[in-house]
Amino acid sequence: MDIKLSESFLAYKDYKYLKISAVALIITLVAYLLHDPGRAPNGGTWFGYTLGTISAGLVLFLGWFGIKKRQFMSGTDLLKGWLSAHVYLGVLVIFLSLFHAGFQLGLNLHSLLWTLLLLTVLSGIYGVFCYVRYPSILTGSRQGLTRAEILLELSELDLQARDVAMGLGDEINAAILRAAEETQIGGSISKMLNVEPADCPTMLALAFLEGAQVSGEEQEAALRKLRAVLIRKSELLRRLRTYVRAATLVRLWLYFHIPLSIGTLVALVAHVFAVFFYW
Amino acid sequence: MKLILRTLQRKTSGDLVARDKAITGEPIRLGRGADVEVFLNDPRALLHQATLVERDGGVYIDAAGQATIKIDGHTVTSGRIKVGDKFEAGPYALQLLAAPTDSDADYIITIELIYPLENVRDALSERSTLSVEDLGIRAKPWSIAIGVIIAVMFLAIPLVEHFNGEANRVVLEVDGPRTVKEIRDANQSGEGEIIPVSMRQFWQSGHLSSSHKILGTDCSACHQEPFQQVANETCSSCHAEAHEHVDPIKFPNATIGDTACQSCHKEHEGPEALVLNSEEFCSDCHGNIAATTDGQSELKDIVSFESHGAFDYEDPANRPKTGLKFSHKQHLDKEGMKVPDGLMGERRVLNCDSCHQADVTGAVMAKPEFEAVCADCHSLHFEPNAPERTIPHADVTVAKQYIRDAYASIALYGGFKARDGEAAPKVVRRIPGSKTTAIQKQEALAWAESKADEVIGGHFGKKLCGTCHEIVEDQNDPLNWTLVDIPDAELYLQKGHFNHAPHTSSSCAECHSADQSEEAGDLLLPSVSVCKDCHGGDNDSLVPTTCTSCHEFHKENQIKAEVKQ
Repeated sequence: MDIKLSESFLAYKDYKYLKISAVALIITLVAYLLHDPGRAPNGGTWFGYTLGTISAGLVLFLGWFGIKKRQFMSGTDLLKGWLSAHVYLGVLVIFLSLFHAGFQLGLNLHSLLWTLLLLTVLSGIYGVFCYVRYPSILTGSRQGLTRAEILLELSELDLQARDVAMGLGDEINAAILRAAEETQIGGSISKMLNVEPADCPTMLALAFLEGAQVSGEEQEAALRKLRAVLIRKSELLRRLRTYVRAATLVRLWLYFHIPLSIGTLVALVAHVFAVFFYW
Repeated sequence: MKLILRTLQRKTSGDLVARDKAITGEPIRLGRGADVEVFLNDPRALLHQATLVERDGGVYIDAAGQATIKIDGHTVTSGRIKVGDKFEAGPYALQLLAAPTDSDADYIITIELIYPLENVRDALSERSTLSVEDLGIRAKPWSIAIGVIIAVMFLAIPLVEHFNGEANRVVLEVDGPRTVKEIRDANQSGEGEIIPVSMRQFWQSGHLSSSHKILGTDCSACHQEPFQQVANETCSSCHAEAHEHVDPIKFPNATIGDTACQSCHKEHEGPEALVLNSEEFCSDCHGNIAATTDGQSELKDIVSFESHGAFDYEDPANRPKTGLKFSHKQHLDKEGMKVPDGLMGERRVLNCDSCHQADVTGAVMAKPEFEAVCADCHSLHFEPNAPERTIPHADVTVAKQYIRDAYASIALYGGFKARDGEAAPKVVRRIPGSKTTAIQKQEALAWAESKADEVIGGHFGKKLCGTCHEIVEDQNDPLNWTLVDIPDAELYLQKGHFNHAPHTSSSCAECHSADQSEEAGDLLLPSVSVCKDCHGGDNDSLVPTTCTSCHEFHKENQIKAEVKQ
């Protein structure tokens, strides 16, 4: 999915799908309040079956988006429309399924289905938040540089630092060497979300240089240069890490959203099967 | 020490290129620093990494400061090296060789960078993960896992349990091949389950009703055919005694024979919900009963308790004949009733429960018995000379006969004390038990008869009974008066049921205005409007009261329903 979509899909065609969902929700709410099944409302009344069928259809439609989106050119208007419908109808189906169940929840397969559906939609809502929030960070953080360009510059700075440090003491040299050999961007989910890791060897080296003592004009000049190189490197690291954090958040929710939606679809099949197997 | 330093460099083709350089020193230092004899051009080397020194007739390599060296693969800080020995300092491998005989050097020492620095950029890229995909995490395996877990736990295992149980299943019947008790035992033994928990229980959309809870997780006790609703015969295998709602011959369209039990009795809606109690269920027919029954029914239309008409007993024409004279108002005087023979004008305050007590069921009030509640004040004494005798509160003929027998006995025995102005023959006044002649006996009997007539027709007879009972006179015989028959107590509200027990938090007077009633014929039962003070339909803020709160659907006075499948 391309992040350029972010601004426009919510407002697609003047909030067409938001309006459709809102109207559907209001109609269902009114019908729910007017309908008196003569017992506690539940999925087994004609109204319950109707809402259940509509909700199941919506869930299948929402799941179909997962297949459909791969066929679109990203950023096209068609994809925007599907995504817009996916988001608003996804929120709608939470309420429709609640009305379908007459707000009866318990420790059973049927409520498991609703819980999975809710978690899927909540993860999706977080995804929408990410698409709206992070794209500007993604582009802004790199300040016109590509990731490859940043990596290239980082390694050039490492080489420079190493050369300068060759003429300095063992401790400084070792810190610079570690900064070059062990600094990493990301590495694990938690590290990818951390813009300023406390144990970053480059930051540690920079901190070490602040207190380092050298003798002679030549070495002092070298130390100054080393500092300048490391400051530039840490700036670049920060930028790249800010980018990585945003890029991770924009992707990470999908790792919940997709398995949860598969779980929802399987639970939906089990739910419908169980209900009619023991009719 | 003179050395030939032979720097070896491996070309990309794999060939080794050697470059020799003569160095002299004592000792010979190796390191990255500017002042060493053997310069190690690598940031991983220390300024001063190691020192080669001749002592004790041999060549030694000593690590400098914190550094270490490796000799024959062992990490050491110092060691003797002989010709041919290999050792490592920093990323370099070195070897001590004998110098050629034509040279003035003591040894040749080869040096080769064997751990080249990694490509900084490639290594950084390799260490780093710029996107979630770089971590090798995929949504697909997680999706498959969660899908498979749900499919197995909530689809496959319950199905296996169903078919496992099928081998043991026979139709559930009262005292039949598989009784409720057997089902319960099977549940407790986990019959049909393949894991310690019954997964079929998670198919239930709600809790079973209290009465079916004992069937536990044996879903197939009722759900016998997959994809088919529970059949009537399954219900009737235990519940054979479902009665019709109405006479099926008179109202063929209202028989329950063709109706699925579960169209009214919905299971899995919690402990109390098995019986349908919505007003709509009844008002579908009773809202327009004439149309439903082609005018056959005489019932009034009703759609909810709010529109419930007056009870039959509210019609003044239906005022019961009691044959009694009784004023509740008088008996409930707040000052109390005068106690007969009481000292200093003693009075007793009566309450409802002085006379009325609920029967053992708590549903209705027991009939107040004369001996228990009236006799305390209403004495049936009739003769001051025989204070131990009271007229039995029984049939009037028996009572009259009792009076006659009493006087005959007194006359025969003697000792009667006549009051002022009262004529009594000598024989009845004689010493009790003394002898009498036949003539005297005749005289005594005549007195007894006349005395009995006087009492029966007078103050202690007709008037005493007439205090509470309506008297029927006989024009031809003033002594042949009788009492108006008291009809058997009638049970009102025959079509519905009422129980006093749940109503004890209200005072009697809230429903029964007894303190205003002066006539025994006043029916002190509350009108339906009194009920409506507290009870409303199912949408009311009052006590929810629907049709089935008071009325049975399957009426026991109707024939047993022939429920079809």
